[in-house]
Amino acid sequence: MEMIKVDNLHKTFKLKLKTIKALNGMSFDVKRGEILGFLGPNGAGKSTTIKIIMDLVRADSGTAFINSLKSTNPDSRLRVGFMPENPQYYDTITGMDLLKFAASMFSVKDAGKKAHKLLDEFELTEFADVKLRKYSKGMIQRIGFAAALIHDPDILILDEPMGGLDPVGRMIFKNKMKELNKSGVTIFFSSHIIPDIEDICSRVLIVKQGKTIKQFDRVDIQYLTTYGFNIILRKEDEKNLNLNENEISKGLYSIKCKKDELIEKIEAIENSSAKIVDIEPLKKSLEDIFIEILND
Amino acid sequence: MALIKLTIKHLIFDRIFLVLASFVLLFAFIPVFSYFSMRQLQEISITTSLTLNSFILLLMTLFGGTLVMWRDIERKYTYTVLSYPITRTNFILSKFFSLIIILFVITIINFAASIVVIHISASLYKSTLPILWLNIFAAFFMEFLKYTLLLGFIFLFASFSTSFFTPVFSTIAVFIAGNASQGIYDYIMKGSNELSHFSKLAAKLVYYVLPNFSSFDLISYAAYSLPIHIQSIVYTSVYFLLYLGAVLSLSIAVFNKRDFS
Amino acid sequence: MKKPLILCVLFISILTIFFPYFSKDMRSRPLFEKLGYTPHGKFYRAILGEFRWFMGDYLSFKSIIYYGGNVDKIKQGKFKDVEFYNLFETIQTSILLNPYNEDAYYFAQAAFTWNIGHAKDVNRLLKYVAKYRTWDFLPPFFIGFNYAYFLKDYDKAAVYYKKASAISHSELFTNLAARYFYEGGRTELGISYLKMMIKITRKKSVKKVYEIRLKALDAIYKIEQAIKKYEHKYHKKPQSIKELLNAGFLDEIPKDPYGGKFYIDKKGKVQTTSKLTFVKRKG
Repeated sequence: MEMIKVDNLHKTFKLKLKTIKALNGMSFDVKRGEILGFLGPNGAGKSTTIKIIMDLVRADSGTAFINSLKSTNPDSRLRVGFMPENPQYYDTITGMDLLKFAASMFSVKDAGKKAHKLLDEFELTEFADVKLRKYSKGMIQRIGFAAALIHDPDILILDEPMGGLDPVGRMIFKNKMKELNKSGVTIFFSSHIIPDIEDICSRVLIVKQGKTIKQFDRVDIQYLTTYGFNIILRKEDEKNLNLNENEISKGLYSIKCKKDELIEKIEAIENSSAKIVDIEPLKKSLEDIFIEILND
Repeated sequence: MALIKLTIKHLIFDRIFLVLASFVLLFAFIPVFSYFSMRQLQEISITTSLTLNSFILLLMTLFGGTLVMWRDIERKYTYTVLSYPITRTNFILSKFFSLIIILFVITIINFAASIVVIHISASLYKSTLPILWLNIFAAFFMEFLKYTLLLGFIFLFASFSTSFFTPVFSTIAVFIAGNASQGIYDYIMKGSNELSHFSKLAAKLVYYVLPNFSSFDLISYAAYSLPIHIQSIVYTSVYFLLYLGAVLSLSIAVFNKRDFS
Repeated sequence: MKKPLILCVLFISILTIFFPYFSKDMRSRPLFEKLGYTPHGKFYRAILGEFRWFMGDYLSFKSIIYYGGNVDKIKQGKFKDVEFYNLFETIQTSILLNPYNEDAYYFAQAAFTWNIGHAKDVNRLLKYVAKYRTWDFLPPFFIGFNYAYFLKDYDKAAVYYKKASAISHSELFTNLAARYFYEGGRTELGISYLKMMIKITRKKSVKKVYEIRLKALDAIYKIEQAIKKYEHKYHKKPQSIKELLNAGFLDEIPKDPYGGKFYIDKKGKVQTTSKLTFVKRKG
């Protein structure tokens, strides 16, 4: 059952003299309970897609649905928590005001209690009554995240939620997202920071030039990131196996091989006197894969 | 409702807004100003009170309108607000009502201040004219309606423009044209027959399209205690409602089509 | 999304139907007719909207303050040092912007009739004002006085004095008219006018101007009365004021508050070397 369905979106922006084709047949689903990462370079159409889902931008053609409701219907956003990229809030109000305002927009009961709990979770309790114009960028992002959670949403849509955060802030956000996901919240977020996605996503969509070009689930990610293996073996004698083994310490050798060479190598070793001690996968980062895909 | 509350809260803590609001203090100078008059202190104080109110409302309308519409879009406050489960119609109307609530409160404050000020000035020199408080109130109220209509224009221009200048200057242009339309129309219609039928028709068309702000001007009626016909008030109010309805629904239609990217 | 557009069209259609009624109502309101005045005034009026009333008041203040600051020069007869032309233009604009403005016409009457000899122009302004200030007897009273005293058009003066009477519900003005116009008591007419003006004037600087003028007219009146007595007794006109003094009709030669000296001209009229009072009146 999909929480969000994006069906063949097209969008062209007109900027003074030139027209920019932002979306070119963007389609995908977000399934219940998953954390879906939306990965792509700047200008690939991530933000535009998210804005169409949030009805901030209207598509030229194609439709987006949230919970089977068209995104142009405001009711589709009732169970959605949203945080835009670089969120901006009325800066003359306090953090507490913002949470209470968000609560009232969703008609949340006992807003005060929930607001206090969220402020506590995001370590903002002491800034509750400070005006937002005095908040740092990281604090704004935290209060924005808190505001998106005030109504216990079923779906979280976050546009570059960790952009501009320091490593500690990132950790807090990631942990919070994992925790929310465990309690059943579906999360859809965009990012161009690959480690963030790699760490927490159950699925990744890669977009380029206004459409999704690849998608990976957790297993795919595991598979794709392993480009080869390192076989550690112990040899009783000094005899060369002709397998390009390197001695790493006395009697211990390592052999590096490509993914598809593994079986072949193992068989070769087993036919010799050497014994396999360990096999560890050689990982390359998602980033490299990402670049490979984009260059295809 | 929450959006109205938030908008008002946000506005009244804004620095520019506070500066504008402090213009209310200028009321204190009206008795001094009217003292320059030879023989019409009371009339001058009424005219000046209404003019000051009009001036404050004009600035509030221009700045408030741009703060609420242009800056919200510019600073991307709209991203958050429109992502809540509300319609854009609801958004525009909430913003609009927040501002007219503020304009109304300011008008009432100004009216209260003028009551004091006019009493002081009138006590300095006995005028031959009575003070008709109902006329004065009607004049204040009509000014409020006038600027509400002008606010509608800011919303209309801000709903399709991304720049700061377009809505402000277009609105000022509408304000001036709307003030002048009646006078120019009268001049053309009463004036010489040299003008061709076509240009008279064109003048008529422009006169119909532009907002007729002179109909909201009751200052002379208030200051010189002239009788106000109820019919004029009713007609102007009906005109106000219809015109505002047209302007606002057009703004909503435009705003509904807009992309926030 | 089409609903607002439909609503907009609906509002516009109702507005179109309603507009003729609205426009008819606007026509029935006192509208502001054009005067043959400066385009400035008209231009201001067009763009100022409801700020015109205040601007009108403000311009008349400006004129009054300027005049007040130059009262000494005016007293000394240095009219060339005073920007009378600009002053008159300003007052004219002020009246065009706010025809109800009492200060403006009052000031025009005070400043431009006696010395400057613009009684005709002032009357034009006053007639414009009278159209608006329908409750005010002063504009027709001023017009009447200007016609009688400065322009010597007694028929027109009588018409306006009658109007002033009708508005004030008092026979005073018609009586005045009858008494002065037909008995040729021009000086007396001036004196009664000045006395009234002093009574109703609030500003001290303006009041002072009236008081000086009244003194001069009082002195002339005294001399004229003496001439009358002289003629009555000797059946000829006196050649000089000294003759009146010698004949005992005058205790002393009255002083001209403007600093000039009184004399009797060839026609037997009382004049003063300061000439201030009547300097341009004939032209």
